[in-house]
Amino acid sequence: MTPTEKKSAVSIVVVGAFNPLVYQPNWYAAKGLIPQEEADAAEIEVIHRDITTFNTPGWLLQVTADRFLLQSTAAASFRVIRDLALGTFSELSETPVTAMGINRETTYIMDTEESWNALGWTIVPQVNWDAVMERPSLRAVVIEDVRGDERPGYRRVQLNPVENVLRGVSIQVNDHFEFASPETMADATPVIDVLTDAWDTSITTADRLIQHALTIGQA
Amino acid sequence: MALATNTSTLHSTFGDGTPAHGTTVPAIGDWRELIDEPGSREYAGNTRNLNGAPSKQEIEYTKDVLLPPPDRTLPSTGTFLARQEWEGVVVEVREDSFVARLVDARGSGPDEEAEILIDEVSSFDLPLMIPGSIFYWGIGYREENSGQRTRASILRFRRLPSWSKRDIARIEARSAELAEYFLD
Repeated sequence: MTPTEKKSAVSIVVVGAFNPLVYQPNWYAAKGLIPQEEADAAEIEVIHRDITTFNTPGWLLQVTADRFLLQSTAAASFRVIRDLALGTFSELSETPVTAMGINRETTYIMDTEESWNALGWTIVPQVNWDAVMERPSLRAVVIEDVRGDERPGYRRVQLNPVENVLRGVSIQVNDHFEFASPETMADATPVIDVLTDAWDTSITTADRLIQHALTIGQA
Repeated sequence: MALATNTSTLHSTFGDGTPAHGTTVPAIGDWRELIDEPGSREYAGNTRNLNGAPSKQEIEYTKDVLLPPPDRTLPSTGTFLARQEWEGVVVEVREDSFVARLVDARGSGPDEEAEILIDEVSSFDLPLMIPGSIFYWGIGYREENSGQRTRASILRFRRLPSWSKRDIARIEARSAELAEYFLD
């Protein structure tokens, strides 16, 4: 049996300088980036000069002074949030940014406890810790790779068991793009370029890494 | 082996204990209760006393501490898992349906032409349903937190801002670069 997918999400994180008060549902509707009906139905958690957070059935937005986060948990909405981010930074193209990440986040249920344990203990063999620990358990592991293209940054894969989910494993891929230092922030042009030119490759690569991770330790 | 640091752009949605700015996040499995008051406190503890008071493991936060992102490990409205996804272009609009050319979003299947019932389109997207417009379509199932699954279809039309002068200038500059590269 193959592992069962339980959760699938994509998030876009941009690090820079933001005014959270701008990023309200009605602003997005006024710019034509979401329908007015969606803005009206948005569940607003907080709109404040320090943080804005609201969500719709398909995605959520959170903006603080130094971080922009857009996340979707509905697979058909992954490209919608790409378009939302593209629209946001096209409208606010002067926004100072330093980096961004395209994150692919999944949760799978392994079909047996043996396969679940085999995944973790193949990556970090338990035998290496038996002599010095009473009951070693793997909490998280992160593997980093170079991007493989001309863009500065890295790609990281993180695996960890999911608390309170039987045989659950979380696999996240962080595709990190470095644009500038905090002292020399760039405008939002690099964000637009990445979302336009690198999105498909990022998602495809992340999915390939996740599917590979699920085969580790399996017969 | 180094763990991810706070300077990364990874959004930790699975409660792995990665600390947000200036906060201390309890380990996986600890419950937390946010009291929305001035000088609010966030309690992290595995137990409560019999009278409901928090246990000794109490962590106090000031208002200046950055709020951690909302816990999205168990979304209140469940999660949608797509089994098939397409990016489509409207070719023709009919009375109760529209014809579209579909491209497999996962790149594994051939392009197709399909007739899709207008019932699949949300009312707020109907004005966008014109020949040439792009949409995203996913078919799969929705799983609630209870485990109940229902078949679902999500169809959304693409919304992007109109081209700005800056966008046009950027594209023209890029086109000039490419032309110079290929023609030299």
